[in-house]
Amino acid sequence: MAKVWTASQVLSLSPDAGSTRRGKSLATLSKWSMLAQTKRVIWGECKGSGKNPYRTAIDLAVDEPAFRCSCPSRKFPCKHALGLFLLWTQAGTYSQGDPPEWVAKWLQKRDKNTQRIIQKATQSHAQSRGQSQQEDLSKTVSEVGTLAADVAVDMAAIAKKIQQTQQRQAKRIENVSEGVIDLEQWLQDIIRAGLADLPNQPYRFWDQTAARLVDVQAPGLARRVKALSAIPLSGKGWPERMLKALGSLYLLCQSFKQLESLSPMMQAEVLRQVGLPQNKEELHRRAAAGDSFVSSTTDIWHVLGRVVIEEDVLKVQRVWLWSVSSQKAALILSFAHGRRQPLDTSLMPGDSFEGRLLFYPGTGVQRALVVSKTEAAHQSRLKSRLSIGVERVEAAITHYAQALSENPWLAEFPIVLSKVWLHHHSGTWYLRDAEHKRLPISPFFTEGWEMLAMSGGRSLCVFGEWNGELFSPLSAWTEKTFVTLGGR
Amino acid sequence: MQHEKWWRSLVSTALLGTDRQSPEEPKGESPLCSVLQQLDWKNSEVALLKSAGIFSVYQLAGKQRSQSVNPSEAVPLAKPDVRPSCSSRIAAHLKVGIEQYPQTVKELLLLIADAGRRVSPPLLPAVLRYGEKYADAHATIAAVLDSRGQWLAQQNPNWQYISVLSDADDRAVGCSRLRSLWQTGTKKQRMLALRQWRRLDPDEARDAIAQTWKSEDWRTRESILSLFHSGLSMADEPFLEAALDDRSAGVRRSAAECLARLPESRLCQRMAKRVQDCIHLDQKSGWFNGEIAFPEGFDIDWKRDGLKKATESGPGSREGWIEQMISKSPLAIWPFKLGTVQQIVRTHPSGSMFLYGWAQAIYYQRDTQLSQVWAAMLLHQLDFRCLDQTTLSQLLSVVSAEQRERYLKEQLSIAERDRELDDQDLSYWLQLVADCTQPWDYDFSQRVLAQLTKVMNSRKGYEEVSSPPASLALFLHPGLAPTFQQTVEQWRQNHRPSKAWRQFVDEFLGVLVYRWQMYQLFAESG
Repeated sequence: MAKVWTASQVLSLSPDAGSTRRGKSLATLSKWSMLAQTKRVIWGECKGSGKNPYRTAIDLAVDEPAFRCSCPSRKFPCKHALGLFLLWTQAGTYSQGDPPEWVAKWLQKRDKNTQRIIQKATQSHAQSRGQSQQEDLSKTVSEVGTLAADVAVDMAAIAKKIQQTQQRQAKRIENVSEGVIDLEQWLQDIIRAGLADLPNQPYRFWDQTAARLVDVQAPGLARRVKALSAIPLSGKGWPERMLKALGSLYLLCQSFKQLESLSPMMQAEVLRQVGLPQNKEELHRRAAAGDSFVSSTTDIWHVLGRVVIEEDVLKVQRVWLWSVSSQKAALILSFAHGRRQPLDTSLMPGDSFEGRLLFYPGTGVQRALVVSKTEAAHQSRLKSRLSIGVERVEAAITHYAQALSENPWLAEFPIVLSKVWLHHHSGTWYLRDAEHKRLPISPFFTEGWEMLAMSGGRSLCVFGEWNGELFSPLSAWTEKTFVTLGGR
Repeated sequence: MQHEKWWRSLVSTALLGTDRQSPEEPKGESPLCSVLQQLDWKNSEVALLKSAGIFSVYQLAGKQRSQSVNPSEAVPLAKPDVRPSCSSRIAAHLKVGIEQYPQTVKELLLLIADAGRRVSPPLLPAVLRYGEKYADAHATIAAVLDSRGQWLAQQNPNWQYISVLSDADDRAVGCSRLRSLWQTGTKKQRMLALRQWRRLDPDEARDAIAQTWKSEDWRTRESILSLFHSGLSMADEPFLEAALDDRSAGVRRSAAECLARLPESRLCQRMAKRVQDCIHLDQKSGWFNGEIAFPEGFDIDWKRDGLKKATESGPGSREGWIEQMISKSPLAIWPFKLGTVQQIVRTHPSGSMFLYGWAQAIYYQRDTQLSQVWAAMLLHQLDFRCLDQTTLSQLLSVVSAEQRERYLKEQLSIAERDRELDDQDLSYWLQLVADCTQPWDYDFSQRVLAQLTKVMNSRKGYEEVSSPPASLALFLHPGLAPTFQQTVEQWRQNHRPSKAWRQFVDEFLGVLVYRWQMYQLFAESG
């Protein structure tokens, strides 16, 4: 099996809190029969309410596990798969056995699909290799000439694609512009009438505006408008919070309207905030074309944190990486629609790898894409994780202020504090540094005592997100241990 | 400060709306002001929105969030642990147990303690939180903590129960810590402290209670009295006797129940007098002529001693009053021999009044030797089907574990021999087995499971057979789990169990299998 799975890693695959709860309750031997495994796959039968048991199997051959279950659930993975997986992490191992027919068939089908994908990839790789081989072999002037022509054709194709994308983007910006003008008007109307009226507004008031923004393809703005609706109900100090949020949104509209006067990186950031999609293929193309705004970094990367946020039927996953030599943070965003689509699990907190990342153009904290990845040696991994981040709270806050000056819409800022102590005072947890400066931890964080127990009063390395007011720890480590915190 | 003032005025303008009030342009020469002054303040809405956006970023970036901690508040270092940690698989099993099978946790903790291991740091908070809910597990929890665990418990007032146990060698230190918690803690912490204190030094605890007694609310007073059962002695009698005059009925009842456990208390003596007024007993010959002079009405003085005018069995029955008096009278007042007791219970018209009164008295006076003699005497002659579950469980709780097992075996054999045991009776018998809350050996457990299988196969509804309790699985020998799992497989195939049956079997089997795994893990790790 490729990888050792812990219970918290398994639970992080759960589609929702209900599945987590039900999956946990199924993680007991008494619910299962026929439990067995091979090197690649684990399977079992779970008693359900019907006469026939549900047949569940998990393929662990690759980085991302694959699930199969005969239950009718539309969730993915279903509670049975989670239960089987959890039980396996607890039991350590099942008895070895030959896969029954239903498991074998499923594996065959999976292998076929994988082969097809590999074939496809090999073909395209062969094409490009063909070119480079040609490069090696072509000695004659005429051959060089042909090659040059080929490359020219290739570059022309890329340039054409980029041009097409730019045209599409220009069309989209035009659409968004209409929405932005309306949004500005709407914001001004709110200020004219006064905030005092907002708590009485029906949900429709916010939702209609948000829907209009979705129509003009500005989902980032729509999300911000929807988030406004919760502020009047957020308790004491809401008018102040509302005014700040409205002001920040208005500045975003203004920046969008003056897009062309901004630097290219800032332009990219504003478009990202508004909600224009950042496309993987497009990023590759721009990198290939030598676009100076697309940077790339090769380093040892530590996976430090993972947060999943559910927005209606969309799940958004933030995975934070941190590089050893360049001390750079990278945000890997991924999305899953509906309940059947699984989230990307190739990057799990606690892992590290040597690899190359491409950064999307933008300012502040940059979103990135993992281009290549090889496992880093275990020893160097543990050691290098102790060397990242800053020791002082004030240094971390200074970095935040710096990032904020580059991107005023920055929501979550990643911080690694490499030498901090847990501190508890009047019901609130803090991290404090050697200079006794403290950083308040979010009241929604529930694992303060677990962190304190882990530290034994000694200092810890802690990673988390800072929102300007509160810190949300996502992982903590020492020389010997690494624990994932927060989230689900 | 100047900025804050301007910001506050801006928020209040925004609340009112620019239709009613125009925003104020900031005055001053700070960098922020000079940026804000560049806005076009004639266009009120736009200026207000833009300045709010700018101020928001200004505040986030510039706010001095890094406040200082007083260095003296720093948490001290934990000493290094001496004992080895339990294996990661046992830790994972414990975590599941705390979340899903809390009743089994104590057993697992005992196994960890017996193996000379400790709980690993990530699980310490969960185990200590478990102790907040399950006070009977405190000593076991203390046994699986090493230096790190004790250190952690000291950091949280809710976990002081551990510090007291670990300081047990030095009682004075323990008591002074409890005193300060009792004086300054939250209600929950005070009760936890009191529970420990009563165990450590009941007299000192009582004196501390007496000091604040009058200022406590009635709920607290009632909770406090419920903790008197630990370390109860005649030294508590004057305090409890005084509590009989409390304003709250609940407090009076709790005090009376504590006093009923002390046969020498004034309350028990008053009860004895009342019983003897109604029932003439010849102390010398042990003779009772069978006549009872029933009281005419409910005497108002009885109320103070916790007697109820209307009992649950019926409104104000005169037999009910005497039964209550018997239950709080010292058993020593009865000059009877075994034969007489049997005769009275079986043949006297008020036989059940005596029986239930005595059974309750036996339970109240469970710390006395006489009570154990009486319990054995009553059990010896009673078919388990003649008594209700509570009474029988109370009687069984007074006798020794061996006596309990013998009684349950005998009852089953007699009934099996007479072939008169129906599913109802079997289920009732199973409940009694569960109520005994003692571990059963392999053979007896096998017998219990055979009875349970009979009930499951009866094709009757779960409620129809008076619901055998799933807690039974906590006390049976876990080695039987695999066999019973097979039995259940077959049962599932041959029957179409109702939802209630399925739930019961799932829970029962879940606990049994979980316990079996627990022992397997320890067997593997040696």
